[in-house]
Amino acid sequence: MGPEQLGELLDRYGAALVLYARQWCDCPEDVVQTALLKLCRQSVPPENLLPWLYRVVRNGAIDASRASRRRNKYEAAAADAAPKWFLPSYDPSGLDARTAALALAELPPETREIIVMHVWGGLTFEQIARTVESSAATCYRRYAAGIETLRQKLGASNPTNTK
Amino acid sequence: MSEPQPNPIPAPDPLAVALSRLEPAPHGFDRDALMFAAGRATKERAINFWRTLALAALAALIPLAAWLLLR
Repeated sequence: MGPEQLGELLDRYGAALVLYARQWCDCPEDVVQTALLKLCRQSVPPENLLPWLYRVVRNGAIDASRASRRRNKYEAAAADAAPKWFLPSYDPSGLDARTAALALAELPPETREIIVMHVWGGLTFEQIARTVESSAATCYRRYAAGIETLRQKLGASNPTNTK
Repeated sequence: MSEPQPNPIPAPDPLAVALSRLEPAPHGFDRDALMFAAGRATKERAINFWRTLALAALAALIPLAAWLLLR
């Protein structure tokens, strides 16, 4: 992979990948950088680039989180870092970034990661299923349940009720 | 008469749309350092090959040089 392709990948998916890694660890940039360098070392690029990249970031972030816990002997609470997940929202009609991040942080990790991959990473449920080694139907069910929980936490209206 | 679609694609959930409008915090990569490391990683295999070849040549030269000196 050449520098131009890597730069393009970084511009397009960098922030979403860092957000994804941040679900587990407090050094997301390092994890994503290691994954990108691993990609550069591949003699043959992976067939499904995005799921591959997300899987490598996921494994790296989980390993980093374990190492960090061993070092600190304290569980790194995802909620502590939650307010830093998004840029402050200046749209008064939109969601508040901090509230949304806190609500997201309270979701079970296996649900949250699917929402992050789908909403900010743009992965399809088939791609997410490949990343988390599950089925697309299970991923969709978790996603729908997670969105429903977020709706209750954020007090958003239900689209089925508004019709 | 057109047949109904068996699995119509559902409209995106308004909450998911609102969430997607939140912008993830920007990453803190040092782009130049990453590009340098990536270039190095790409060439790692070739560097390792030439390094091994150079070491092998050196290992072969040492006994040859010793033999020439002691002759």
